[in-house]
Amino acid sequence: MRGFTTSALLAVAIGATGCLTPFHVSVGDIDNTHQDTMRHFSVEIVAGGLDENAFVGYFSDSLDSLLYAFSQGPRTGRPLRKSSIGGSLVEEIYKKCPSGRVTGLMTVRESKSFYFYRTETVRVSGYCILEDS
Amino acid sequence: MSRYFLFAGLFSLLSGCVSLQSVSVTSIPMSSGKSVEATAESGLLFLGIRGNSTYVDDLVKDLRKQCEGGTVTGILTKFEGKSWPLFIKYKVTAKGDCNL
Repeated sequence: MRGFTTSALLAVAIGATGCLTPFHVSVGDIDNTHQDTMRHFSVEIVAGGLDENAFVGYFSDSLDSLLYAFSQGPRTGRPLRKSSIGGSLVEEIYKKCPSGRVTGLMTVRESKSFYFYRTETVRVSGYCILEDS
Repeated sequence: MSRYFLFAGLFSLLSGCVSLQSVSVTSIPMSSGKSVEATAESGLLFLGIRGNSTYVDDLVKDLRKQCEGGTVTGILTKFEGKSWPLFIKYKVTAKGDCNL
């Protein structure tokens, strides 16, 4: 009984932490000539939802395979319901940096799963060159 | 004979497997300047379990420090993973040219 409790607690702890899968990291050119007027910013776009494949696969392997048949092709992470995710990234960057003068952009694409729930994330961080420079 | 196989097996397990996750390059300048490089590593992850990827956050800051008052262009970013049984480690390397 004690072993079961320990295992259950461990499973819950691991599930709460989530399992992170990184896919892509890229760094853009850096203009460091405005060192005193640069401000760091970060934008994150997260799409989350029930991981149907993991959920169905828990009960039936054949149903899981059937779901995969509808989501073939190269991809990173799990299939999403909407294709518009990530499209607002430029607008989000403009909100953080109204001058539009951004440099040192680093883009990170990753996926995080918590049992049957998963999130697909695009994270962009960089520096905004302030307008009065 | 079986001892050699055991050693060979152990050695291959310890050396790990490397996988290239992604590579990107930015515009390459006409004249190359001082070479700058920054790396970030995730540390050893048991079963790949980790809650965040903040280890990459200082990458740009490190490149900026090495090129004060200049521009860093032609940045090659390499993101790789190295795995052993039950463990994995991620490493990001960013290498570019600093033009003052």
